[in-house]
Amino acid sequence: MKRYTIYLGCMIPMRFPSIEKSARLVFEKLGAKIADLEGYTCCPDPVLTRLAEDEFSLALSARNLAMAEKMGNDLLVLCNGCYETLIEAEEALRDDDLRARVNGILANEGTRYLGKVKVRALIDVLNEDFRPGEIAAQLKAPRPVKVACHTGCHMLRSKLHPRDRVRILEDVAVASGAEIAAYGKELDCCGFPCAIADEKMAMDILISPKLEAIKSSGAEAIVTGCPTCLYQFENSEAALKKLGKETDIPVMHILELMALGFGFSPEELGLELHRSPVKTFAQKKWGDVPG
Amino acid sequence: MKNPPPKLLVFDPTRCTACHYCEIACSYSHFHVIDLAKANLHVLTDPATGEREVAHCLHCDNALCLEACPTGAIYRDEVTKIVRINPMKCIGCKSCVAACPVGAMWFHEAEGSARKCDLCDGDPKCVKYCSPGAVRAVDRAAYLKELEAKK
Amino acid sequence: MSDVVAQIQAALGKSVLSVSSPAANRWFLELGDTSAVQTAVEHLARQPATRLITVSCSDYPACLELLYHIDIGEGILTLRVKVWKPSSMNSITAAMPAAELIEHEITELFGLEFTGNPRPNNMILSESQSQLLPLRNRASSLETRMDGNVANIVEHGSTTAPSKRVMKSRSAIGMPENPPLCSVTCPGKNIVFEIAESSGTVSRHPNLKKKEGGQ
Repeated sequence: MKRYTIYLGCMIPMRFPSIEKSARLVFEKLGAKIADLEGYTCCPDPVLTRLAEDEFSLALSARNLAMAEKMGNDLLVLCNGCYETLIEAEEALRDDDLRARVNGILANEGTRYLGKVKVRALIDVLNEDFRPGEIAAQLKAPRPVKVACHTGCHMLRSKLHPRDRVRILEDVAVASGAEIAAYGKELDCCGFPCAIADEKMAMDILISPKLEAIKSSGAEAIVTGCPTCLYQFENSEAALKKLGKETDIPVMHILELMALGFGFSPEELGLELHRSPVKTFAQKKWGDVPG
Repeated sequence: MKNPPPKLLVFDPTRCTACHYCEIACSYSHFHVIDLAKANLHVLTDPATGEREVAHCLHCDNALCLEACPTGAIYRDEVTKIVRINPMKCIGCKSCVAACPVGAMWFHEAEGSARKCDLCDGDPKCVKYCSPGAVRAVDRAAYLKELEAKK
Repeated sequence: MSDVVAQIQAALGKSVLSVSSPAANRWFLELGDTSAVQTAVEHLARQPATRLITVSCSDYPACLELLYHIDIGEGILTLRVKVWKPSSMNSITAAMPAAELIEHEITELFGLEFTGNPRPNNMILSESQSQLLPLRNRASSLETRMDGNVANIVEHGSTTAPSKRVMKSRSAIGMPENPPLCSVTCPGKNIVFEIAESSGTVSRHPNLKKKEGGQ
């Protein structure tokens, strides 16, 4: 049986519990055992915290990695940002001197990281360990919804060229019963970091063109692997609505799409915390599923 | 590493997602602020075609900014090949800003001095925080030789 | 101990981080949050023979420290509070109108906004100089946004509990109200802050320590 230690991050359990619930249900259905990383802290943020306080950030990441190491399984990271932070920390901490220094910081906590944990991203686990075939085999309620996939920048940190990397999420979405709407701006950022610095520019060069391209591709929903991108899309839609540009494409996480396809009812997943009409959409498409 | 070989920033538009983390990392590491106007490199998107380009300092071999400076405030570090500015000598004439063909030089009003990329003294933060790997730092000599061969 | 100081201390409860009295008629109250200043000042304004002497300000990397010096008749009371950059402060002019000029002076010299201060224009600097902030510490960086505050940001981003609404939604779909965060599994222990302290973040920014209430 496949076993994973799951790293939830902050956005998923604190803002989108439906994604956490979906993850638990989906991996149970796929026959994998999920163990929680008890007592985890912030990953922390892959850019800003590390820019401001490098050693502190590395020490926090190392503590999370050390706890995962003790549990023995691969560390399955659900969030793009957490994945980049943890994989870069893991790679940096292969250096013995740096690891010794960081362990010195953690000594007061009684934690020690030995450098032996495997950090894996959600889409990599779904693609490599289960293969689309295993996912498709679990489909109870496949609905040929047309979705626009958005992988998210932090997930592009890989040996693959970004344009090949984004295909992985699409493969998983297809295995979950969806059809892909190609919209040509798959690589574009969701606009979250840019909006921190300059909201108007983010809206003009990233968010508006991206959402418009998605709309005109005929997609019924946006599927993403990153909770922060999801959050950004939903907030952007609300912001665009205020400007009089009606956009209400439901934005869902890949795990939610899979859970619905696996036959779990929209009510079981608790989709009401989404700002975009995910719940209405799910009820329309999967409402007849007995649950 | 005592004297790492001189580096050069190169940009691959096919990898860029326009997340602007390079600019955020740059402005934060130089000025402790998240302000794209205070970044030493800029991701530019053509609104019509969606094409991307990055304007960044190339630390030119025949640097026009260096030639244009009337006070000798701009100089080249011969070991790292980084073109630098001595803010104490800068008189704020902005000749360098006008001279730079790629728009890498800018003027910091509050400091009263011209500013540009300093390659973070050999460890560029824009490269470190670029997830898709669109901005890379390459060996200057080898890369230029490669370009020469392609001609 | 003065009665007035004791009353304020009782009214503010946990917001008072420390009390010191270096001389018989001198008291310092260190406050943990900016809204406590409002409460304290309103209480003091109701006392007879209370007078605002001045407000002083000093610049730290991550915050501005304000000291409200108030004559309470039997001596002088100083309220100290830290305002984390780049947030603003509430004006006390409603309770103590004399604060109008000094608050506005701090706005001009340090760039700290006082919401509710009625004074419209600059007093010292011309409008074109209003970004100059002459008394900001250059060495601590004019435009610090996050320095030194990192541990607090991380702490609030990751180790506080979900909102009531999210908790309700979590239990409605059969999950525990809280995810297995360190704040839940190790109650009473602030791990993020402890690591910040061991990594030297705190010693670089000594003001962090007070904010967390530990010493």
